[in-house]
Amino acid sequence: MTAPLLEVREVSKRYAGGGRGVVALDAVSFALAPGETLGLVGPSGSGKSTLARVVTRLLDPDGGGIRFAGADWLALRGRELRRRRRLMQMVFQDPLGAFNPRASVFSAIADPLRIHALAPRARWRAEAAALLARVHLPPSLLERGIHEISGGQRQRVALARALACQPSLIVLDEAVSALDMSIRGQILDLLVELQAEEGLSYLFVSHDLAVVKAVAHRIAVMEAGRIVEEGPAAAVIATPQSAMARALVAAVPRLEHRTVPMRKP
Amino acid sequence: MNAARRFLRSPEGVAGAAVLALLALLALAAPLLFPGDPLAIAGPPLVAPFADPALPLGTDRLGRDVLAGLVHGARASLFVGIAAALVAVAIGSVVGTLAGFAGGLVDEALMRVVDAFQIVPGFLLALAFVSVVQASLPVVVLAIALGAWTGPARLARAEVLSIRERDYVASARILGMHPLEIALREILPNALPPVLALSAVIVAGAVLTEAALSFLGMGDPNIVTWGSMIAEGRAVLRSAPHLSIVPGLALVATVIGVYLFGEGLAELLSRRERRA
Amino acid sequence: MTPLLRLDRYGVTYPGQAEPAVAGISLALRPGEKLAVIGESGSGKSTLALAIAGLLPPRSRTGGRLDWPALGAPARPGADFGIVFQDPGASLNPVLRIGEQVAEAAQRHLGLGWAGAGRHAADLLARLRIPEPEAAMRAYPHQFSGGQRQRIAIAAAIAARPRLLIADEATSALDMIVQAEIVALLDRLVADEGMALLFVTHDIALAARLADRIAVMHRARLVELAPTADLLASPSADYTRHLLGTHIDLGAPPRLAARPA
Repeated sequence: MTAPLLEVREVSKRYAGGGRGVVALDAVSFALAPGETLGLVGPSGSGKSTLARVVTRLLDPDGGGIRFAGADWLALRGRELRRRRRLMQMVFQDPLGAFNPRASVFSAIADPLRIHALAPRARWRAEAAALLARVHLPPSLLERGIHEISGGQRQRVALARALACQPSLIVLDEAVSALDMSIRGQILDLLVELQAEEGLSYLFVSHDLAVVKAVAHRIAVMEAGRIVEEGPAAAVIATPQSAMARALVAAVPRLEHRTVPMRKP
Repeated sequence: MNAARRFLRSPEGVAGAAVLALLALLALAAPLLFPGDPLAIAGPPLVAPFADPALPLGTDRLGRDVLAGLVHGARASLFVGIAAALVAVAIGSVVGTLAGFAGGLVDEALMRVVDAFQIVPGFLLALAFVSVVQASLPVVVLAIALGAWTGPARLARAEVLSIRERDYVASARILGMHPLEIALREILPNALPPVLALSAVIVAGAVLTEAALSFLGMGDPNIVTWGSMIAEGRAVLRSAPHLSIVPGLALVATVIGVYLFGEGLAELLSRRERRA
Repeated sequence: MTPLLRLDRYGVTYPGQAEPAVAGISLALRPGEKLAVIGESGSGKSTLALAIAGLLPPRSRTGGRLDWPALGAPARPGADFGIVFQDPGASLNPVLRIGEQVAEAAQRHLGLGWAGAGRHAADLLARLRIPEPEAAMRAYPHQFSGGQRQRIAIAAAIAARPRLLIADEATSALDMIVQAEIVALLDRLVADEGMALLFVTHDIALAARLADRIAVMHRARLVELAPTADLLASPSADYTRHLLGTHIDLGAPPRLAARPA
């Protein structure tokens, strides 16, 4: 069995102040293998977004360790950290907010190419067009401003930007929650396609169990800062062991009387 | 450009821009329209306005041409107003951005400096500075900026604090962007628009402060300004009120023009945010 | 039965826009009926809700008719209808106590004095399962979670016992579990009070859970309007079939590629 790509051990995070002293993460541990998708589910306040931010080092934990791509992730600093960040990218919930309001599609995708010297300047346009093609967008979009394209297109551009880094892991923090239902399916299909092509790992954070079930190999259920259940996706959903998992399963609205067959969109 | 077209759709902005354009034109054309020193004697003293076609607005107590003074005075007012606002916004933006970005002790220290400057009323600060240093236009500009930079500083800091938390800044960090580049490319350009909108108000205030300094005789004594004209007219206020009123009206027109322009600018900037 | 709300070829165009946001809408809402309006972003469903609530921006152009036959007079906000919006953080005034905000409509429209309105508000908060309603009355919005704030907003909307509650994507910003709770709550509340419910959402399964009839909107038009069971069993419009086909729930097959060794 291959070594895990990401190993999170006993990570804790506490927020002080405001008189609340909240424990956001309480000794959380999990592992992610290369090419695997781990779905992280839970209600709001369960700590899943905090965990995503700690894993991507947007926040520093109070305790615990993280190993990523064979190195002590938390020990990295400065230039070395910035260099290795290339391997772990993130797609955010709000497609519009994730881009500099002044950015164009081209400048957004070219940023990682420039920052990590992944291509000479002369080749940026061609590389950007190729990346757009991989997320099924036409190269004509390169000249458009970020606010000029649709939400679904923006999320694809966000994926293209992440792919430009040639990452091993992409953290998706409620990445489809703000999209229309029919677009969600397309983005999920794209994620699976890219994973098959590149062997990417995904940490897929969501409060919607149905969306997670569609793409995850394994699911970890969080509640109040702890992982309360973990296992293969189909098993967790079919036979949930914890109360939270049961509540999450029950909360997904079901389409009864479905006579229109599910078609591959 | 898109922005210009949007600005033109705001009637206040257009009106303000028109007033300011006219003033700027007059200010620039002053040496052409009224060659020679406006402080030179042009005719007999206290000629009434519209009495002599060569002196459309009459003369003051010493026989100086009022219209020439008015047009030349526009140069001083506009120069001081705009220059003081630029200096204030520049200093304020840098200090505010530094404070917002650095956080911690640096933020605290800088904010206490801002507090110190903000406690003293701007006009008194300008007055004190000008009394200590010999008055000249650049000194007046600096004096006014000393009182006006705190507003942009606080605004810039507030903007930076809010932008720091946005997803696109987090995104830039995750991409591995250098912090300096994040500050200059991601944060600063997006923090500036509200500060720029504030600058219109600062220009208006600066014009008035300059006039007040000149009125008190603390301005540059070698040039004519509207403030000094109002001061000159004070002695004959009952017999020749127009000597003070006319430059006063010019001040009013300038300040209104600046405010309207600022409104148009704010409209323009807020509309862009709503779209995005 | 006289409809509570009737639209006849109703349309709305926002100021400065060439294309209508909503066009040719004809529907009638019966008293006590639960109608869901579903559609994707840009379909006009929120515009429709705002139009019914009289919240369109000034200088909007409207066409057709929108009236309230059962009321016999134009609808009064608060008294005849209440509205709950998507963002629970933005619906409540952060500087006023909860009790004041919930009691306001009752005091204004039911003619209750402060004490009476206060008791009514506390009672509502209890029915909406806000813990310790008496203490909650004196608390501020920031002290509550998103789901609780939405319940408080609902309490404020129905305080004056209106005939219609409009919920404009009221659960879209909440997580699944809270969403399910709120929907169940709305279902019960509306039945208890005999209110009609206009529920705007992008989630067709959620709509199906709650509604008697479903109206499907696409690009400003009403493409289908049918009782829920009929719509799900045999949708007549292609777009409805598209929405049903692309809905992701636990019954949908996983899209996974085979797991690499």
